[in-house]
Amino acid sequence: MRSCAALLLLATLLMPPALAAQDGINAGMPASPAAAIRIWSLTGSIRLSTWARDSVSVRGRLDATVGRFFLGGTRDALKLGIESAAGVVPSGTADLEIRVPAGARIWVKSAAAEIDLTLDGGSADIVTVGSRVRLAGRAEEVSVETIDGNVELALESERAKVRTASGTVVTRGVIQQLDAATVSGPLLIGMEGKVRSVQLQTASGEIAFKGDLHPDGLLHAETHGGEIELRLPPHLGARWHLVSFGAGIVNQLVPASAVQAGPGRGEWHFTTGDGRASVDVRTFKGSVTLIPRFEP
Amino acid sequence: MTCQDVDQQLDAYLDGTLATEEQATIDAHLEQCATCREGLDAMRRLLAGSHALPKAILPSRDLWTDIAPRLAPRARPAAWKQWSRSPAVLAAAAVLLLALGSAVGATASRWLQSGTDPAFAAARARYAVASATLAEQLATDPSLLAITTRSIIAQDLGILDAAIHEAETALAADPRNATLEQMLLTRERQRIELLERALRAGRQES
Amino acid sequence: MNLTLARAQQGDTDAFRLLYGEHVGRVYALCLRMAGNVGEAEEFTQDVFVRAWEQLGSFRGESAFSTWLHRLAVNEVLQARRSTTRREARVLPTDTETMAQHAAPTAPPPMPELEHAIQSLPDGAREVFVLYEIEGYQHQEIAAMTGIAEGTSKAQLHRARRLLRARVTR
Repeated sequence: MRSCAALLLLATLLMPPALAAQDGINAGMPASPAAAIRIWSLTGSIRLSTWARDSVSVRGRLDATVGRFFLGGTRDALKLGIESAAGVVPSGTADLEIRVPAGARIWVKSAAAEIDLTLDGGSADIVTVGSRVRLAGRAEEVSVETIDGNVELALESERAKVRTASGTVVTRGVIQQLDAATVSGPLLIGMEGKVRSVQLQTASGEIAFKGDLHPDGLLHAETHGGEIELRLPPHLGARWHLVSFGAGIVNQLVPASAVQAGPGRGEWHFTTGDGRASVDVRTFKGSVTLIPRFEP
Repeated sequence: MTCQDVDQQLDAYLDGTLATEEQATIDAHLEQCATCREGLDAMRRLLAGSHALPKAILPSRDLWTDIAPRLAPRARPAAWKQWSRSPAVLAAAAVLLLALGSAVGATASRWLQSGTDPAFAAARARYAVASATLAEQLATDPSLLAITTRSIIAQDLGILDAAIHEAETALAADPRNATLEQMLLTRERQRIELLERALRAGRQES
Repeated sequence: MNLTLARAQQGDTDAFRLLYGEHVGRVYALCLRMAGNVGEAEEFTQDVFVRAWEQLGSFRGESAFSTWLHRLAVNEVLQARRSTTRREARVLPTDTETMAQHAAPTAPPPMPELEHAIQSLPDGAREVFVLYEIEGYQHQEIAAMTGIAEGTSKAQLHRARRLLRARVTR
């Protein structure tokens, strides 16, 4: 068996480079600062960043077997990407390096391409099957939808929405309004600054939040089977509603004197400080753990 | 000018809608009358307090769970919207799904018959119909979803179904538990969202 | 117009839920103060968002979404409160049943004295006081929205202010 594998390896090494041609991509066109840019590429990689020019530039490498590169549209609405044969996700090299005007509205559709966007204003809307998605920089609004891709947001943004079924969601930075949900993937949410609205939901994935809330902020986390761990500042003024039917609530954050159990079984409902923020946390059979978060 | 006159004009005085001379007359009275001054100060404190009240107050429970089932789907044809609201159609749909052997349909049908909160039962029935429609669409969709992706989706649907089943069992033992009802509907909604997302992701074009 | 709003207009309930999260505090505060009790406030808030969903297609972005929604909320609440069939159909809390009593089982946050006093105003006076002093509408606008005369609005405000002053300084 082993000799067979060695033979195969040898044969591969001795083989001439694939005959399929690999094209270099080098294209560009003018674009308005708030242009809508739609990007299609099923596989390979998409790296996008902004620049202070009124144009879009694309560089990259593409195996002809993957498909044909295109770039077109108008200054305000551009389309670019790789057109592949219908019905299959092709294999081979398809790497795009894209520069867009800061403030552009980006839309990406992919199946498996690694997606890496560094934004400076504008928005991003990404739909993919299994891509790893990474968003960095600053944006007004981002939305990511995937089935099993991992999503990482290292962003300063007003709003973000993330949906993945089995992928992991990791956030850093400041997202004023975050809405993230998975089925089995974990949500690992770290925030700097005070955030206004965080809504987290999984069916079985763990939920971990570390950060601080705006005085009127709200943090809602809900899961069926996942554990919930919250690291919050010790003196948060909030209305708390904690539910764990199956596994109980571990509280190291709120002074025991402030805590009221009930009204239902496995339920705590109480107020701390001015009670302006809202912390609503529910897990059917996981546990809820509250831990003080101290300023770094 | 009497104290009563001043009190009558106090609103216009505070809102700054008095003519200059009227205002001066009141000012002159206030100079001399401690009772009216006190009344004015109390009113000023009251208004300052009112203006400082929070502009936003969050309800003590999540109202979304009651709102969501009432949102008529917008993309569907109008006929469907009317139809899907009729209890008879909901019941018929649930029975049809039951006949198809769908577990979700069976559940919806049970809820419809059990005489629990009708809004909750109707929401479940609606979710059951949507879920079944989408699942069938996904099964026949010539999409780009690889076998491995399809198996991930199946696995996650299994997790959701198990969660729904567990919540149902708990709810049977504690039928008035609104939190459990909400959790159950959330899982149903997640199920639909996952199917919708799979359909969207699998399409090559937008 | 932002992406969330655009998506909600296209029928994305998830996007609408985000809008709900963003605006529910403002809408609920209005409903709570106008209604004077938690039960109705919750019901009105739900109605407002359902109505907003139905009418979202007609929102053209001439005003801010929050302004549009707020106006819609005021109209919805006023209309609901005027509708006699609805009032009869519902078990109304009496004047003496204040918000705090109504909400006792869910342990509401401590409420300032002033908020209590506003709750206890007679319906007409309370509505005008809330719209004028807290929500910042002018008498003319209040008259147009509520269908009362401008003079009546002023008189109700006068009455509300005096009742409140008596109650909070007592």
